Amino acid sequence: MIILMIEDDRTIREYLGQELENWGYEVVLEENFANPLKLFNETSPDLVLLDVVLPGRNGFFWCQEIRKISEVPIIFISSKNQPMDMVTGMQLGGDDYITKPFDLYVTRAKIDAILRRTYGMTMSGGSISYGGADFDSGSGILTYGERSIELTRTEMMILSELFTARGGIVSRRSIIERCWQGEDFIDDNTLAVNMTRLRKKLRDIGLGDFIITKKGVGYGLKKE
Amino acid sequence: MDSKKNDKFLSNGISRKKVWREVVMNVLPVAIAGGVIILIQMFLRSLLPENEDYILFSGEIFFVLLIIYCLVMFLVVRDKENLKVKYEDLEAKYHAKINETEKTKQDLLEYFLLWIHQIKTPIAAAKLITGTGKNDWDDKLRSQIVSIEKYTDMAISYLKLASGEAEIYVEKVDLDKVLKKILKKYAILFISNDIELNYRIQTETVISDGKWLGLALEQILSNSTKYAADGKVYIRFSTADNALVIGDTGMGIPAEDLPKIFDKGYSGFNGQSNEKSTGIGLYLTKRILDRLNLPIHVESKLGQGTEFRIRFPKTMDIK
Repeated sequence: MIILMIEDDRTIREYLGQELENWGYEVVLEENFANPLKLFNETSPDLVLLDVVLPGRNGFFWCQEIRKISEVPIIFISSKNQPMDMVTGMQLGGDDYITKPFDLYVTRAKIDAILRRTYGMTMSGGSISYGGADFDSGSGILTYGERSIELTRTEMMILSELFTARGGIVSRRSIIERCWQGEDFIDDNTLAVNMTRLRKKLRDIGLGDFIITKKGVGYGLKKE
Repeated sequence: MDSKKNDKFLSNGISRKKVWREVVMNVLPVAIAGGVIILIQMFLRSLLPENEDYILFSGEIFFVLLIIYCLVMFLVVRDKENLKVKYEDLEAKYHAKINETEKTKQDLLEYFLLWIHQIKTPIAAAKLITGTGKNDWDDKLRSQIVSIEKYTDMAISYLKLASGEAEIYVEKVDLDKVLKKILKKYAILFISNDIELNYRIQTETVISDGKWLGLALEQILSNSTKYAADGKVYIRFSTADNALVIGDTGMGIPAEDLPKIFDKGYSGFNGQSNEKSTGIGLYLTKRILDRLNLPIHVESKLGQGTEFRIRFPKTMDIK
C-alpha cells in the first residue's frame, strides 16, 4: 500500500517515512511543494499524510485541491492542535488529525484504522516470520512448524518488539516502553518474570534458544 | 477647547464664563442678604437719627467683608475648575496607557504561542530520531526530549490560563483515558527512573473539562517521576468520597512546606534528588483545579511519601 507524505521538515520526512516502511508500507515523499498534486497523480497513493504548515499554499488548501479529484483518505499532521484547527481540517475534507510531536503508536493505529475502514485491509495484523517461526500479532499465536502457542498480551508486545528488530538486540527499556505504550505498565521485575514464562512456552515447542540475552544490553531473537 | 488665551489665572480649557457663573451663583445669596441689610440700615437710620454714624460704619464694614468674600469665592472656584480639567486629562492618559499595555500583552502572547507551535516540529523530529534505538544514548536523550516537551506544554497552559483565554467545556470525562494518555507520554521518564507503577483505575467517569483536568494531573504525575525515583507510584479511585488518589513512596514533603507547595516558585526539598522542580508545575495544577472548582488535598510524610487527593462533585457543580 502506498502512502504519500507531504511534510516540509526533512528530518520528520526521513524518520517517519522509515517507520512507515518498517510497518510494511511503500512510502512516497513529496519534496517539491509548489505542486504536490503532480506527484499525487503520478503515484495514486492509498493514503495521504498532509502537513498543515507548508511553504507556499498550506495543507488545508492542498486538501481541498485533492478532494476535487479524489476521495483518498487524508490524515493531517501538524503542531497546531487547537480544536479550531482540527475542525477546519475535517471540514475541508480531512479524515483525521495527528499532532506533533508524534506518538508513533497512535499514528500507526490511526493509519491502520483509516485503511481498514477504506479498503478493508492494512499492513498490520497478519504474521511476521523469523527464524522459522510465524508470529500473528493479531491473534497472539506463535507457530513453529506443526506446533503453536498462545501468548498473553504482555508476551505479545515483547515478541512484537523482538520480531521488529529482526535479530538485533532490543534494550530492556525499549521493551518496557513498548508495553507501556500498549497500556501495560510493567517494570523490570515484571519483565523478567514474563521473559521466564515466555521462554518456557517457547521451549515447549522447540524454540528453547529463540530469545537470547545480551548481558547489560537487552534481548534479541537468535540470528537466522 | 479654548483658544491659546494666555490667561495667567486659568488653565486651558476652562471658560471664563463658566468660572464667573459659578462665582455669581455663590455670591448672589450673600448680595441679596446685603441688600436686605441696607434696607434695614436705612430704616434704622430714619428711626434713630442720632446713631447714624454707627449705622453707616457698620454698613461699610459689611460691604468690605462682602468684597473680600467675592474674591475668595473666585479663587476657590477657579482652583476647583483647574483641578477638574487636570483630572480629566489624567484619566484620558490612564486609559491610553491601559490600552497600550493590553496591546503589548496580546502581542507577547501571540508571539509565544507561535513560538511554541514552531518548536514542536524539532521536538517531534528529535523524538523520531532517538526512537530508533540504534544508539545507546537514545533512551537517555529521549528522556530529555520528553522533558523539553513537557516544559513547552506547561508554558502553553500557563499562558492560556494567565491570559484568561482558558475555555472550560464540562462533560463526562473518562479518567482511565485521560490518565493513560499521560502515563504513555511520560513512560520513558517512569521507566528510566525505575518507578513501579500501581495503576488501579477502571471505568471511572467524572464531570469536568477533560483537557484541563489532564493538564493538572500531568503536573502531578510528572513531578512524581522526579520525586519517586526508585520507588512506587499508585493511582486509584476512592468511591467513598468520589476522589482520584495519586500517591508515591518518594521523599515526601516537610510539614512546614506543605501549605506552600502550590505557591509559584516553590522548588521543593531536594534531599537526594538531582533535579530541582521549576516551581511552576504545582502552581499550575492548583490554578487549573481552582478554575474547575475541584478541591485538592495533600498528605505527606518525610521519607515515606506523598498523596494527592482530588475530589469530584457528584453532580454538575462547576461555575
